[in-house]
Amino acid sequence: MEDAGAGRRIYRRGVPSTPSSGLGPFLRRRRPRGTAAAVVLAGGSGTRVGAGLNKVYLPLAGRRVVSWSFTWAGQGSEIGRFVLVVRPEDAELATQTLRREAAHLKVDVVVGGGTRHESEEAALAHLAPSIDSGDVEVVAIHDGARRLAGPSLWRAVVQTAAAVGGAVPALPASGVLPVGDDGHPVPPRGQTEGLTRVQTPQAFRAKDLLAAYDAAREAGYQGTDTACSAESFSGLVVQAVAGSRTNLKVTYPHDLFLAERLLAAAKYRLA
Amino acid sequence: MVSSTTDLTCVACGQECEHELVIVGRLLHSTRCTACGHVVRHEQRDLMSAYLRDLEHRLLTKPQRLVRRAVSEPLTFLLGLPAAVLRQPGKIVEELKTVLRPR
Repeated sequence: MEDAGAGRRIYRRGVPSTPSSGLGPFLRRRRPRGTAAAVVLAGGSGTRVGAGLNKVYLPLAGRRVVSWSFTWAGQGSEIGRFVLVVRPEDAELATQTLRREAAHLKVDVVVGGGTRHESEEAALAHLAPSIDSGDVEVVAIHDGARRLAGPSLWRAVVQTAAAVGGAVPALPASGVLPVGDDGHPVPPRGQTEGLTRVQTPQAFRAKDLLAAYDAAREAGYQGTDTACSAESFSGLVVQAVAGSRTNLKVTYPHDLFLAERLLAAAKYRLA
Repeated sequence: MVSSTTDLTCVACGQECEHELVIVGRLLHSTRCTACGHVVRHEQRDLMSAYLRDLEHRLLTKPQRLVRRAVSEPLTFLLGLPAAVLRQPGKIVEELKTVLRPR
């Protein structure tokens, strides 16, 4: 077990928000911000089939999906840096959206790569000077298509990562069966109680995560998610925190209707 | 009423392909798969009540949102305000027509 004391320091330092435009910066309530960074991935998988709008820019209850992610992430005092990773063709739309819907936060827009791993690398490269200087001590990486990750989930992963090294939200994966080479389900040989569905945001101590991605690049490795790369190339302890059943990822049309209803039921304020 | 398209996996044909979305106010009205035409709609029986609840929330939060826009982008806000005010009646009528349209 690593020393948890170092992680707790992140809440004492403040990074003042930087003025953007208009009168907002003068009227904005200023409060000290923590030294965790929230990275939202909106780069896409590179396997999109049509010319439609990237899911993270779809309107949901009056705002675009990506704005909700930053709204929830920015509600706690733990996170002081915000990064949105976009595809080159979405950069203008992302900037306009953030200016209109998340003007109270200073969000850096970074162009990502063709894969999730490359987009994470681009975000970490952007944050590297702040990580090296100690201004950013924890990085939480979030999939932009998961629009209902509430403030308490962001807080839980950041606090856990600061304490133990890494944190991922997870839910028990009930009713899961392995599938054989022939495509048919096969009876499980071992216990299945320990299986979990992993969600995002996933948070890690920043310096260890940066070093892990440097090592992964040298090894030519591309992980499927942040935890995978962190565990493969660092000694970080990754702990599961309770995920949320409402933290759904939009895949099917019904997911859009469900997300909208969940938000309305919560009166547009997630816990 | 707003129309948009995005890639979703169709529950009828199983393809990941473009879906057309119809949005009324802040409410998702329907989606249509461009490959097989399968339509998923908001439940008709509570569509009007959901729309009215949403409209009420929009109206109640409008002053707050206007102030936020005015503070963050004063020039754009002032220049766009007259046209935005003039657009509202037509926008509401169009939304109501979509909500009341039978299947």
